[in-house]
Amino acid sequence: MKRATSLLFALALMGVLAGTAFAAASDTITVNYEVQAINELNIDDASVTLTVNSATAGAVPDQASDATTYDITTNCAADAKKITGALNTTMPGGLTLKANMTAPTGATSAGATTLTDVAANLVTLIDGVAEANIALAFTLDATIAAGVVGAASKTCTLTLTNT
Amino acid sequence: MKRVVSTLLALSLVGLLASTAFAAASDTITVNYEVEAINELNIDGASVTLTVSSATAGSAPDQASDATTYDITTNCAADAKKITGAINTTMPGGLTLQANMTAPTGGSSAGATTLTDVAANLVTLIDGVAESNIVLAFTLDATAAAGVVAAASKTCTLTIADS
Repeated sequence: MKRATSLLFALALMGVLAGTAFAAASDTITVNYEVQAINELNIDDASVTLTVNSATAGAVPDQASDATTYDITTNCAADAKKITGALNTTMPGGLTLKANMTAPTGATSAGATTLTDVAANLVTLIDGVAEANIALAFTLDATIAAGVVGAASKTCTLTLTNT
Repeated sequence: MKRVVSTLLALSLVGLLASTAFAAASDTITVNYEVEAINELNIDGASVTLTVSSATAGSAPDQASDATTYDITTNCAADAKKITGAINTTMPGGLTLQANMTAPTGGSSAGATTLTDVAANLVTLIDGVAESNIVLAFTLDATAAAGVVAAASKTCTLTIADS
């Protein structure tokens, strides 16, 4: 009789426990998350055109200028990134091509900077930022000695890189 | 003789009583019954994974999303229940975790709702219902300022509660 009572008690307890396990009014789920490094730079136009075609008598030819804009998104740490600029090949003698990038919030612009085939810093001390339509200006200066230069082009590469 | 008659009479009476006890044409039994409150919620997946890893230049990082499904059975009265959601601790700064539970028939979804360590209503006005494989979606948004966030996890608890 004692043995039967114990067995019944054990079965009842198992039933209660099973009922508890499968009768939840709530449940949980693990949400795994991560944010990876993001560094995106986009120049809004495909090209700019700089034509030197005037001068004041007695002075060097007038500077030509054109501008576009760029967009940037980076989730880097404070001051951790910069933007460099370089041309695919150097400019012909007597011609000086410069880029002047307005800095996104929190960063520093190098101002008008001569572009060559070696990367030059255009913006430094970039923080995490997401901004669009920031000014990117180009200028072309020509000396008299440069003479007439037929229409040509250079490819300028801007790169978001580590400081 | 008298003694024999008495004995026969006594036997006849016992027989009559016995036949009355076993020969009834109807009987009754009390059937006790009860349906207790049932509130069952099950999340079909053990985890979801949200990885923010891209952006369009100039815009905030792209939203990451993942989804699972849930099952619900409740025998509550009309509009008597709701489902709340909470995570074990709040998300780091710059990260927003949201849950969007499709409502079971008769319920009303709160849509994409930010999860914190305080329970938020995800579905309200739940009627008695038994449905499976209802969509449960999660999204993660990160600001650029949030920076790179190493892989981590939160435990999200969904609970059927009284409205």
